[in-house]
Order: sequence, then C-alpha cells, then structure tokens
Amino acid sequence: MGQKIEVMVVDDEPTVGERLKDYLQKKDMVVETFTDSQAAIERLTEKRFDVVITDLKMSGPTGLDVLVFVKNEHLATQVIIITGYATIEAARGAEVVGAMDFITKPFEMKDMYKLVLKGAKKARR
Amino acid sequence: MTWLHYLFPRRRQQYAVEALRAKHDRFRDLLDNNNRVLELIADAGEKLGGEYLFDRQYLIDLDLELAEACRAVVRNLAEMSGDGYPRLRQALERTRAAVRASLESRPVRGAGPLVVEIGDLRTELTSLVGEKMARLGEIRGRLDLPVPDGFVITACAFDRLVRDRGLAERIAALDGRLEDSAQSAAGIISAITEGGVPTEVRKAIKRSLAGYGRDASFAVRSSALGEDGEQSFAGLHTTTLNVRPDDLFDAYRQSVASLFGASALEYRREHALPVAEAAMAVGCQVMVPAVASGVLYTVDPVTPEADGIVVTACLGLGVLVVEGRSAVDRFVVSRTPPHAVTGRQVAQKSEMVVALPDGSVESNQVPEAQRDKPAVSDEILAALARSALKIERHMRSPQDVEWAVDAEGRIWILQARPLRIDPRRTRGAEDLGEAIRHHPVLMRGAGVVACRGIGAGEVFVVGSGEMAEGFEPGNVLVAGFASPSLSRLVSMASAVITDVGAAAGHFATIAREYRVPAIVDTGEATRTLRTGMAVTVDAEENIVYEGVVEQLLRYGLLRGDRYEEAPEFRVLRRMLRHVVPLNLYDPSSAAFVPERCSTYHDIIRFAHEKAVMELGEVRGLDLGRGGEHVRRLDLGIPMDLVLIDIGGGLAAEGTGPIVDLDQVTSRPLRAVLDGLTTPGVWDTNPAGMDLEGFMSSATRSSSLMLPGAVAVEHNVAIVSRDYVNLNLRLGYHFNVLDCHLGERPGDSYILFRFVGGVTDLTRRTRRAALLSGILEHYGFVVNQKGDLVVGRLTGPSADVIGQRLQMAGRLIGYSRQLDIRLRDDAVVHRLAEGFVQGCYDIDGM
Repeated sequence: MGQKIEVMVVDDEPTVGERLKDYLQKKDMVVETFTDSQAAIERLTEKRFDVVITDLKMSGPTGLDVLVFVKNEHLATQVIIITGYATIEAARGAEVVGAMDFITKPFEMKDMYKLVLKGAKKARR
Repeated sequence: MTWLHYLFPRRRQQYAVEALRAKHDRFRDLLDNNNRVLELIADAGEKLGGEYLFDRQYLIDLDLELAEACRAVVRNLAEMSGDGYPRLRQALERTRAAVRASLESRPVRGAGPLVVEIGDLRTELTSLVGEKMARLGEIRGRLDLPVPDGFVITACAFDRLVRDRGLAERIAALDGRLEDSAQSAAGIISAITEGGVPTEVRKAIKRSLAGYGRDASFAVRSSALGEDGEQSFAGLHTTTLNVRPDDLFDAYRQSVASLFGASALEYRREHALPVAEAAMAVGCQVMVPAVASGVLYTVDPVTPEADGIVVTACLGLGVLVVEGRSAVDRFVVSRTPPHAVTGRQVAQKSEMVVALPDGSVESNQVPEAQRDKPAVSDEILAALARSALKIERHMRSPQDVEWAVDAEGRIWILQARPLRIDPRRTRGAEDLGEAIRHHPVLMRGAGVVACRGIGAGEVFVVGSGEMAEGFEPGNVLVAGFASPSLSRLVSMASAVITDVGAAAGHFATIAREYRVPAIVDTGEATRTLRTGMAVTVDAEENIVYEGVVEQLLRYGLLRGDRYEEAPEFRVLRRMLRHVVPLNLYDPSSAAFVPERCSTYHDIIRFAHEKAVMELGEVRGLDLGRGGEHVRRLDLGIPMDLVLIDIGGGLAAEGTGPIVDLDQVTSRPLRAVLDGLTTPGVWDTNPAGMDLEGFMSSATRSSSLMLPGAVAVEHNVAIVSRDYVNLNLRLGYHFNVLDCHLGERPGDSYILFRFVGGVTDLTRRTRRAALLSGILEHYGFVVNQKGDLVVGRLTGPSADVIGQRLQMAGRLIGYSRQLDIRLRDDAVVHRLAEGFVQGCYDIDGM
C-alpha cells in the first residue's frame, strides 16, 4: 500500500481523537481529528480519506449525517461508527446506509486498528 | 406462632430450616453482586493499562454500576443479619461520595492528619500533601535516594486554617468576579499572614519540630495540590530557605498566602482551575549544607533526541540557578553509563548564596581561587546522572531535578518534576526500524499486554517458591506465575513479564498502579529469558528484544503512547483509588469494622466475611434431633457432622436420620469429604500417648470437653447442590470452609479460615505458617496473622475448584495432628513440602 493510510476521526469527546491519533500515527498513518462534526464535514469537501471514524451521537450533524455525506462525496471511503451501548440499535441502521462496521466504547485500540486496516484495504481496492 | 413451635418440635425444625434457606437466598444474591463488583473492578483496572479507549460516559456508567452492586451487597447483609451492621451503609455512602467527587474532579479530604513525616509519604497521600512532596516521598522511600528529612503540613491543616480565619466564602468569591478580585485577594493574604496558625496545627507542627533541635534550619516549600502534576505552577508559589524553628510558622503562612498571589491567581484563571478548590500543603525539610547545587534535565528540551543530560550548577545554595540571576556552570553528561561529560561551559562565578546561622541567606563573594573552577567534579556529575535516570525510569517521563551536594560529596534530591518536552521537537517512529533491526527478537506476541509502556534492564527470573533475593531496582522481573508475594518488587522493576496470569489479575493491577510495562500469560518467559540477560520490553507492540535498545527507550520516553495524560485516564485513576485498594485484611483485627472501610473493595470484603459467619450461625435448630433436612453423617472417621440441607445437598430418597457419603449430593461438600477421608490423612493415631485420648475425644466435640457448656457444639455443614458452609470445631481448632460453585468460572470461590489450637502460641503460629504455605502453593491468596489463617481462592474452573476442595479436606484432617509436632520452623518447611507431595505421615517427616 504505497502511500500512507489517511484517517479522519470525528468525536465530540476530545480524548477519543487524541488517543486514536497518537496510536494510529505510531502505526504510520496520517490522522486528522475533529470534535466538531460540522467542521469535519467541511473538511471532507476538500480532502479524501481512506477511512473515517465517527461517533454516532454528537450535537450538530450526527455520525449518520457524516456517514451519508462521506458516501455521497467519496463512495470508496470506508466509515467506522463508534457507539455507546445505549445507541447500538441506532448503529444497525448505519449499516444499511453503508457503514463498514461499528465498534462500541470502550474498545481496545488493537481492535480499532484492525478495522482501520480492513477499511483502508477496501478503500483502495 | 412461637408457642406452636414448642408444641410441634417438628414444625419448629422445619421453620428454622426455612429461615436458613431464606438467609441463603440473600447470601446468593450478595455473592452475585459481590462478583459483579469484582468484575467491574477488574475490568476498570484493565482500562488503566492503556490498551483501551474509553470516554467520560464509561466513567459515569462505572460509578453507577459500582454503587448499585455495592448497595445490593450491603442490603443483603443487612437482611441476613437483622440489620447487624448499620455503619456499613454509612461507609458505602462515604465511599460513593468520594468516587463521585473524583469523577467531578472535586477535592475531598475530610479529616486527615495535619502533619505527615517525610518518611511516611506515599503517592496515595497526594491529595493531602501535594504532588511535589508525594513525589519526594516516593524518591526517598522507593528509590532509596537521599531526600532531606522533614515533614509536610497537609491540605487538612490548610482547610483548618481557612475555616479558623473564616475565609472559605471570600476565597470562593474570587472565582466569580474579576474587577475587585485583586483587592479581595490582598485581603485574604493579609488575613493569612497576619493571623495566627490554628492551635491544633501549631501543636502538630511543634510535635514534629521536637525531633530536630533548636538550631535546625529548614527549607519551607510550597506543595500546592495540583502543582507539578497536571499543571506546573512553576515559580508562582513561595519557598523560603534557611528557616529557624521559631520562624517556621511565619514561613508557613507566607507559603499558604502565595496561593492567592496575583500571578498564581492569573495562572489559575488561564487554566480554568477554580480557586475554591485550591489548597496548599507545605513541605518543611532540613537544609542541606550545600557546597554546590543546581538543576538537572534528564533530556535536553531543545534537542531531545541528543544523548545529553543537561546540568546547571553553582556554588552554595541553588538560588542563582533557579532564579537565573548570575552566571552558572553548564554541563552535558551522557545518558549512557559511565556518563562521561560531553559538554562543559564553566562560568566565572563571582557570587554564591550561603545560609547564615541566624536563619537568613546572604550572597557572598566567591574566593578568587575557586571562581574559574567547575562547581562540581565529573564524578559528582556521573553520580547525579545515575540518580536522575533512576528517578526518570521510575516516573516514566523526562525529569527536571533540583539537587544539592554537601561537603562529603553526598547528593541530595530537593525536588523532581516532569520535564515538559514540546512534541514538535521530537521525531516520530521513522528511525526506529533501523535501530531495532540490530536486536534479535526474543519473544513476540506471547501473552497479553497488561500495562503499556517500554522498559529495559537486566532480567531477574523468579521461579516458583524461590525467594526474590538479589533483585535490583531497574531489573526486568520475570516470574512463573503472578504471585502476590512478588507485588512489592513490581514498583521497582523496569518491566514485568509472567508465564501465567491475567490482565485483570492482582499483579497486573499493581503494575498499572505504578505504570510498569507488563506482559502477562506468555507461557514461556521463564524458559526464554535468563537472569542477567539485558533485554528491552516493548509492552506496546508486545515484543521483547535482546539488549538495550536505547532508541526505543528514548522513543517511549518522549513520544510513546501518552495515554496516561488523557483527562479521562486521570479521573479513572483517581476514582479507582476509592474502589480498588483493600485495607481490611485481617478479620480478627480490631480494625475489621465498617468504620475502616474506605473503598468498595473493603466494603464487599467486610460484607462477604460477615455473611459467611452469619450463615454459619444456626438459630432455632435442634441439631441433635434431626428432621427432614437435618441429618447426621457417618464418615467412618471419628468426626461427627450434622448436615443441614437447604436445597439439593442430600439425595432425596431413602434417607434416615444418619446418612453416609454416597447420599451427599452437594458437589462441593463431596469434594471436601473425599479429601478428608483420603487414606492416611485422618491419622487415627494422632499424637503422643497421653494426648491420644484427649485428641480423639476432642474431635467428637463432646460436652465433656466444655464443662458447664449449655449447648453441645457440633460440626455443622450447611449445604445445597453447589454450596457448602462448613463449620468445624475440632478440639480447639476452629475451621470454616465456605465454597460456592458458580455457573461461570469467575463466580466460584473457596474461603478457608483456620484459627486456634491446643498448644502455645508459638506452635500455633508455626502451624498457621504451614497452612499458609500450603494454601499459597495451591494458588490461594492468604492472610496470616498469629494463629489465624484466611485463604481465598477465586476464579478458577469448576475442576480446579474441585481439586482444591479435596486438598482443603485433606488439609483439615491433616492439620488436626499438627501443632504438637511443630518443634521448630524447619519442620514447617519439610511438612509443607511433604503435604504437597501427598505424604501425610507426620512422624515420617
């Protein structure tokens, strides 16, 4: 996979983006993080990512909005949805819209890493 | 109802069994919730290892679930005991309040010591003594580096002072308004500096001062809560040097007042730290008669990748270095032993600050001959480097260390705090590949990471049963299994690796508390790694390299996964300090009371212990009489046992008043009895001739043994299909075995409790040591105090629990013969080994 994998993380809890950024950068990926989903959507109009990781429940545009936007802009970009236990049902709807997978918080970093790798492979196929 | 019982003894018997059954139902519910709490604790502990990503919602849920499960435990015990422990509810609410406060980042102190001696400082006391002093305590206590004697006037003393002066409201008001805050802060400052120190605080300080003599002098240092932790507050609070005992109260008030200085308040505002939560602890340490002092950075903040420790030094006290007032020496020392000096700028030093006998400090002229000489020798610099790297390794981040050297060349650590390195100045992982390639991989992907991080050092392998003598701080601790007895070494290790063990286990929990990189359950570490090998443990990628990979270590130090700096991580850490630690060990101690329960773990331990005892209390049953659910067991050994069946513990069909082993359907009791009746275990010829009759009658628990006793004491087992509560009074031994076989492995446990004996305390204690040794060998977590032994085993599979129960049965029979034989400590060792190998013949040992 010649070029570095490009990942966007959208979560209104700053810790999620910060820690994922630390972790995935160490795995030689390029990571951009957003706590404001509107800003994330704006960024998506400028740049194409291999994988977008987004929280489902956010004020402003929700994770579903981000997902729909991504799929309209760049169909190949893979989306991983982060959910809490309470919202797992809502996340199932996301699958229909084209989310690649979802993961519930708290999760293990290495599980997320595996998902991102899988997503990047799909995105570049 | 009651009189009916007297008329109809059978119905009375029935009713008592019903009551017992109801009690047991409560007990089952208590157990379920007890296990739920333990699961939550283990789970939360794992989250601290850095492998997980969690958010604030997780913390909120954790608090709720813990509170709910603990409440159920306490409620069940209350129902079992007829509200026997009302204070436990208070302990629960107290603990909940503390957990909630840490979740909301509110400080909670309550009543605590006003003064703590330096020698007693621990990290756990951070919320009382501040980060700065807590860290000095660690450096002195754990790393064994010289830190000046003294004491800390705690945050509780601060609270007292604020209350005495009636300042709380005025302080809180500082958060609200900006316009006249300078004026009102000045008012608070003068109220502190001009008012007296509260009498109790004064008394406590005087008590500490009594140890030092009238001509002692102290450095009085601010140690505000939060200072040097998440926020540095560098230079904003007051430190006074060379303070005589008579002036100490003044210096204390100055330090406290500096909390409300203009720049300190501004700093708080910028960092959104409420003044209402501010508190000042103050460290008072004996002055070091310094010939030279200075500051050391373990990493050069400007070029962090370079191999250089930066040392600045001046003659006399370190004031000149700290304040940057005058020309000082600057050295660069290699991080690699033998720590050669690689850079040297010796300044012309015209002034030096010295302490005067009258309790002041003065700037003096440096004698001509000394001006152009370095303030410290290369040997001192190398020794400084060694000490500082030891601190860095322990604290797991680059350090900023204040130090002093006395006339004897002894190095004193005055302060150490994390050195902030701008991440933009450090390179990423790109260059690591090349460096790593030269180091053979010894282990890869074996086991699970219990605590993320990178560490290196010489391997120290501890085999099973071996002592850990020869372990040096900084070693990589390699152990067969995660024995609790190795716990104290963990904090000193640079990394730990085990063959077996779980990421949720006790050992892993300790590793995480001290942030020691840990890999557990590798299955091979003790075979692959040998004592004395140098290795680098990458507990981020789960790889062990041969040799010390400096670049990887440096990477870990500067750039590695800084998960522990996330705010959620800090909050969880704080929360868990009110959840995980177990302070109530010894059920026979006067401290085993609800009032002493300060964590959820304490509360459930207390409740479980009491619930087991509650269950053993059989009220309203006539054990001699028998009845539908009450039987005598014929075991073919001289021991009587009354069985009370509360559900599925005995075969339903064809049981008369006396049952034999085959009719016992309680799985745990069957296992115990199988052990107890193992040939050779129940020595039929137990002791010396004169004691023989004594012992055998003792086991019959005859009333002859207890002259004047109203009731005949019986050996009783309360059983169901998956449960046994066995109460044995064999002679003067008092033995309780409580076991539940759960559906899932984590739900099963064995509690083994043994106390008493027929001989003198020395021999009884020896026997307790023997039992402890054997139980520990079989994986029990054991507490022994005097002649009391309490062993607990939780978690293994039903098969293992079954084997352990058999062992416990053998041990019960075996221990009966013991204490008369325990002439000396050496016998204890031989017998323990014999038992483990299946030899129960005491005389043959």
